[in-house]
Amino acid sequence: MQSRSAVLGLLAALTLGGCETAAAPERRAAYDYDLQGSGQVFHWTADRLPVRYWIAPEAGIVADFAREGIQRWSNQFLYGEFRGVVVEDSTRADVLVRVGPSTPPSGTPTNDPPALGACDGVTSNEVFDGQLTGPFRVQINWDVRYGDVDVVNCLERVAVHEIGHTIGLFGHSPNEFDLMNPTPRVGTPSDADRATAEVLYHSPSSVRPPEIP
Amino acid sequence: MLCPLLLTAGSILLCTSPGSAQVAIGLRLGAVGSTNLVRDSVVEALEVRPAVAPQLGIRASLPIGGRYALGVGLSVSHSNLRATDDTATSTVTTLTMWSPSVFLRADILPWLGAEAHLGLQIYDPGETVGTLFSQGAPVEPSLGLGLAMERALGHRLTASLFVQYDAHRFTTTALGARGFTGATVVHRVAVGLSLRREFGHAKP
Repeated sequence: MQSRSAVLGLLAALTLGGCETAAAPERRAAYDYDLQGSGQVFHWTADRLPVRYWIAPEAGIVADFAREGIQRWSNQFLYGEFRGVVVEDSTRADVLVRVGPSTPPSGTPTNDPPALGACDGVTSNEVFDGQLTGPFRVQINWDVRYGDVDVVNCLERVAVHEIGHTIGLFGHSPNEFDLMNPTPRVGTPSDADRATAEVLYHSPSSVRPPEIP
Repeated sequence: MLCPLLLTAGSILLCTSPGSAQVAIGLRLGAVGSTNLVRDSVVEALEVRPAVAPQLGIRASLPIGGRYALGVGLSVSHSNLRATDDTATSTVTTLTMWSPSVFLRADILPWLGAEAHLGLQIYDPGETVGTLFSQGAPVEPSLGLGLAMERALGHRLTASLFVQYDAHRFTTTALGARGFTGATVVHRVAVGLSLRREFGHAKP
């Protein structure tokens, strides 16, 4: 009799928990992510992960920032939607990262806002017939007229920002505290950046990844 | 991970000489299915759950009087954690689950045993970066019930067909940091075969 009561009690306890489900937050894209307002949307598909990044040997500290950027963007996702890896062979890479005009100074970034003009970055690609024609090309340049601290601070933000473009966030945020602002003040994706990236990766992609090199 | 467990259990089962305690050592092999760990909505509804997984377990128990026995067990299962939305299913990571437990077993009929168990569910993901385990994998208490249809094979060996149910709450630090509130109650059902051998003096 006692054992029957114990079993019934246990069953009741399990049943009480029954169908409880954690409540999910609402996500909305905070800014446009399509290609230059064309409506064309791109994100890497599961069969192309991890995305292969090649970083030029002369990139110096930017190689560390790019690796960190890949990690920071990967960690915005909950379900493995994006992963990246650095590879040695540029001919088998999905993204090529180059730095000019020479190897930049080294240092640890500070929380100071980066000096405008100490560096800049451009990510380019070409789309033909609904497909990328080749790897993303990231070009980051720094200005030798600026001090090392300003250059390092700028390079960190710009490197992580450009990695954001390579995951498919082609647009820019109007909010100066979002990493995808045209002149990023922060080095880590904000909640708005994260929500936008999540919405992008759960939306249909109208542009296919390039052929596998 | 599974090989040392199998070897240890096999060695105990085959090599232990009878002692004074009437301990029973058992091996279990089965499959376990789980309900959703996460139900999300990003553009469209999304469900995350482990695929049906092979499960291996080892258990030890001692009679505590009458038809009751008290025991400890450890089971492990391994499969892919999958995210499914309206259009596709993708693998989030591989997921190993360790389940240590203590259990109380009762012989209801000569051929039927029932048990209640209290244990832990230890999540051990293969990948943490970019997943719901990026800020740590949970260890959650669990409660469960089981039934086993048994058949004596002789030489103190007993084979059984078992079905086991357990439930635990699931959430992760990363989910909480993203604004998920509360936890999901996860239900698991395992079925399989077990082999148990008793060691020590028989009851007078």
